Amino acid sequence: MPLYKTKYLISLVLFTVYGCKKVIDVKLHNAATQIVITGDIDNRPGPYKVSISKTIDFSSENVFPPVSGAIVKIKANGITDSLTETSPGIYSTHFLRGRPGTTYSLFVLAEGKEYTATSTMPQPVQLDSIDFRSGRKNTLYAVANFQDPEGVPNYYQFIEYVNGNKFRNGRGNSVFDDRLSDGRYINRLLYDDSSDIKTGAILTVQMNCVDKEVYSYLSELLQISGGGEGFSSPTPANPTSNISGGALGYFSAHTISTRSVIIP
Amino acid sequence: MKQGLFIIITLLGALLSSAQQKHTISGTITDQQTGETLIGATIRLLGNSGIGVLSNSYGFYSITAPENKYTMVVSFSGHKSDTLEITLNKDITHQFGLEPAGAQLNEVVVVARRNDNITRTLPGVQKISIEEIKNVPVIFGEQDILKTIQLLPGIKSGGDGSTGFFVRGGGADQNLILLDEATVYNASHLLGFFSTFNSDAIKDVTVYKGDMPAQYGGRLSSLLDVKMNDGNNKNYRVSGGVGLIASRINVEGPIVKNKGSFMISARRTYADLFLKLSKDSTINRSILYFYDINAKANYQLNERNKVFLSAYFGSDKLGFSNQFGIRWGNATTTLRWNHIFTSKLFSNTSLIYSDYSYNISINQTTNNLSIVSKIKDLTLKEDLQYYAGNNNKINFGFNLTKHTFTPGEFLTSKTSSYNSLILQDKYALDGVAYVSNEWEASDKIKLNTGLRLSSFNITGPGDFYSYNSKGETTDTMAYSSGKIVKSYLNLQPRFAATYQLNKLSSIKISYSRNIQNLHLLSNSTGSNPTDLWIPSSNNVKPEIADQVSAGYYRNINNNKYEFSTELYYKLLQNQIDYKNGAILVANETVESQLVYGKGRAYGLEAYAKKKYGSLTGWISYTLSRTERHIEGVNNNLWYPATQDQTHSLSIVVVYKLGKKWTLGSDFVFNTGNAVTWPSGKYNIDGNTAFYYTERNSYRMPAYHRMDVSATLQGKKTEKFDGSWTFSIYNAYGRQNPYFIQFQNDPANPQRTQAIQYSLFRWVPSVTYNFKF
Repeated sequence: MPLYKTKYLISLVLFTVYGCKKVIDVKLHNAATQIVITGDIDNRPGPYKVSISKTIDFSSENVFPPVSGAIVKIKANGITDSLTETSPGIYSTHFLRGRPGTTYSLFVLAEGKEYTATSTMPQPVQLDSIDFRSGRKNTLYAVANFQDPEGVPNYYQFIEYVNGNKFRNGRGNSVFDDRLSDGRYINRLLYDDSSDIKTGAILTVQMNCVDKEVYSYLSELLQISGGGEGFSSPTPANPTSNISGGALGYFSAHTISTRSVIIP
Repeated sequence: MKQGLFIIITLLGALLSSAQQKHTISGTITDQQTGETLIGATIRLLGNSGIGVLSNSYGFYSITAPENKYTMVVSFSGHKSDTLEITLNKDITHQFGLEPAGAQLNEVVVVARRNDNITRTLPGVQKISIEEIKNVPVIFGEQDILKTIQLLPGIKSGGDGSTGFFVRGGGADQNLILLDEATVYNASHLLGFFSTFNSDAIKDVTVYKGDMPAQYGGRLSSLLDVKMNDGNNKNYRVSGGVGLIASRINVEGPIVKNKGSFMISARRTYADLFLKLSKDSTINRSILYFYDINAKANYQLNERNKVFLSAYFGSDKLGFSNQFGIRWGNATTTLRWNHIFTSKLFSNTSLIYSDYSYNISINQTTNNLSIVSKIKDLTLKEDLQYYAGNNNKINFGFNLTKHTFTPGEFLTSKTSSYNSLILQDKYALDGVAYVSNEWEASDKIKLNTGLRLSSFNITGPGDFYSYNSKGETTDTMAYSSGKIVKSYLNLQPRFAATYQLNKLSSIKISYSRNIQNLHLLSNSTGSNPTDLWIPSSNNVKPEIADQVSAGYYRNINNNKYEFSTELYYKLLQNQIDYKNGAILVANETVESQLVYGKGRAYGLEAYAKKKYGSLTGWISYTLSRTERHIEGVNNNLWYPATQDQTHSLSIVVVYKLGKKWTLGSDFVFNTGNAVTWPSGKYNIDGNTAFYYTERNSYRMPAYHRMDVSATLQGKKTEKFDGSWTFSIYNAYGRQNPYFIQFQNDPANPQRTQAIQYSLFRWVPSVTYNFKF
């Protein structure tokens, strides 16, 4: 919703006229390490992966220690798939198939603690097409076009790739829900930076239909991904995870629809 | 028998004469040159009893004293005192016109140095004169009441580019701002860079830091009472200023000489003209302006009746070519009638209409959306002041307000990605009755006691929801028009006492309870013009604040220097905060997103001021703490509120250098706001995410800044007065933190770094001011 962007836009104007920035030293406390679990099941053939890692200190290098030797199981329709660790901290399924309408339950036993989560895969929504719109400083923004099903709450996650790679610095991720758009044909503008979209490269937009809890998690994660308490953002807090037991991260059963276009 | 009767008659006669007949002298105090009524002028009957009163907000005074001959002295700052010998053997009315003290520096004028700060009853009150506002340098060269009051103890600034101010740890929505009795919802333009008050037209500014007299209420932390000039009723006058970013003009004059006058004042910024010079296409197609218009007229019907009509319109517009536009503003109209019933009873009746709204329009080819949101208030107020005599004044009255809230009307075109949505309007009826007494019990003790009763009623038509702890709607009840959904009755006692130790010092204590029924929902750390005001309801309870304070006031060197120190402690109830990921926009069930708790704030304020001489100014220092305890937040532990700033120091110095130059400067320092920063990081799908522990356990780096200004008096004749003001905001260009962001180091993506953004470094400005 553009409302929260008002102050951002106003400040942007004044900022460009006056503002400046610099790197500063901040002394941050180091909290005890926490477990981070992410698991994705989609409607393509498997295998699906669950990743378990740990938090590190802010000042450390971005090497996130994997958690090995955990017991990871996913159950659906009364059948349990016990995942095997295929690389450090990454656990893969064997025979599990992701199908819309099915509820998946995750069970993790890592370092003596239990974590559980459930997620129901929604019905798929097709991403029809991608086109482009001009933005500020002649940047191009991708626009995702699709029909929102009427009468059903739908939650969407968008991930953009250029030539198969994600954008840098966490960009290219957004969420959308149909709370104010139920049944409409949606032309969703995906904001990015001029450095992300390069003429001639292939832009791939992946649209996931996620469930309500995963949408809330991803939405809150995006709010803190500005990485700071800026103007216009709420006080940061850890996103509400759908994993019980005190783990950070999420467990999502979602459908995928992708489209690729060459950037003009 | 005859002798007995004679004795009785003599005794009776003696009794009657010893009961001493009392008479009243009353009238209005005005400025002799302009006809403006003077607020807070001191009127004293010299003698053993030293009876005195202050003129009220309409310049009216009334003194009742035993039959005798008296010397009356009337004084007001910046004016020559007036003395009158009177024989009070019947009720008298007398109007006083005081001469201004004279602008020539070499004119020796005996102006009594005031000790109002010692004798005035209420602690936590600060009065600022227009002269002081004019001499304090402010960003973009614009005089600004809101920025000037943030240099006083206990009043904290929201920082660069912020609208809000925080009084004694309260929230930004806890300040009641009145402009000639009408509530102002949005007191700043363009995110706090400019105030909505045109200082050319202002007569009086008083700030109450929580200890408001019983006739005021509705916000927990403060009252900023701004009174405008009525308009010169003797001569036509034009004044104004032309600056780099904005200009203003003020025209006033008589409607009927000495009987009625008008005043019109307007301001506009033309910042957008500068934006057109930019090469960046986003910037040069931007629209950025605001304007204010203040208009007033008054007419003295007869000795006992005077009517006033005033209006204010102000609006801000921001947009990017025709793709996006947001416009917001206030409009208020007030009709007032002063009626003097008797020499002791003064009445003011006001009818006030106010409209605060914002309008957003988005045109992005297929995505068209227009959003309207407003608050409309209609108020009837009756204030009576009874000057009972015996140093006793009784204020009583009532007011009735009808609030209509339009939280949002979202209209979209057929091809838009959004559905049209109209959130239902909310209605509330706010009734208040109050009575208060100001009593000088002795020449050392003054007491103010008051009681304010408020009845806040939410009415239909509409649907009202109940929620469970998960935020799910558990019940919907429909109410028809006018039916009362929920009523809150609150009693708010007010008490203050002054004990004068001697002519130069006093001790003051106070207790007050305040209620707030209008709440501003804003879950961002800064405030937005699109933040939502909601009334108390079946889910949201009125906020309550109880404050106690004690202060010591001392003047030195015959009132040349003022010094004061105050301690306060405030308890807040029913404070509002938000669930994680709260959806406040376009949400019919927005109340399901709220969580509640309590707060406390305490502090020590110290203030020293030099009012007279060629070097004047003040120093204010506050040491304080403000914390919140909200259910479900921070593991149900107390945490510092965002606006908690441990130390806050302001120094203002104004120096009159010779006849032509006035130099002004201010220095501010404050500890940073409380912020929530990461205590670790982790990886989610290839992106770095930050891990948070306690809420607000870190501090932004300290903020400090110095501004300087120099005013050059140009030619000054009977007919024309011009001056140039040069100023630099942030004279040493410090990069004060606006916000801090954490990101991967672009040079070394394996590391995370903190980037500090600053808004303003050196901001120079030039303004030409004129008066004729």
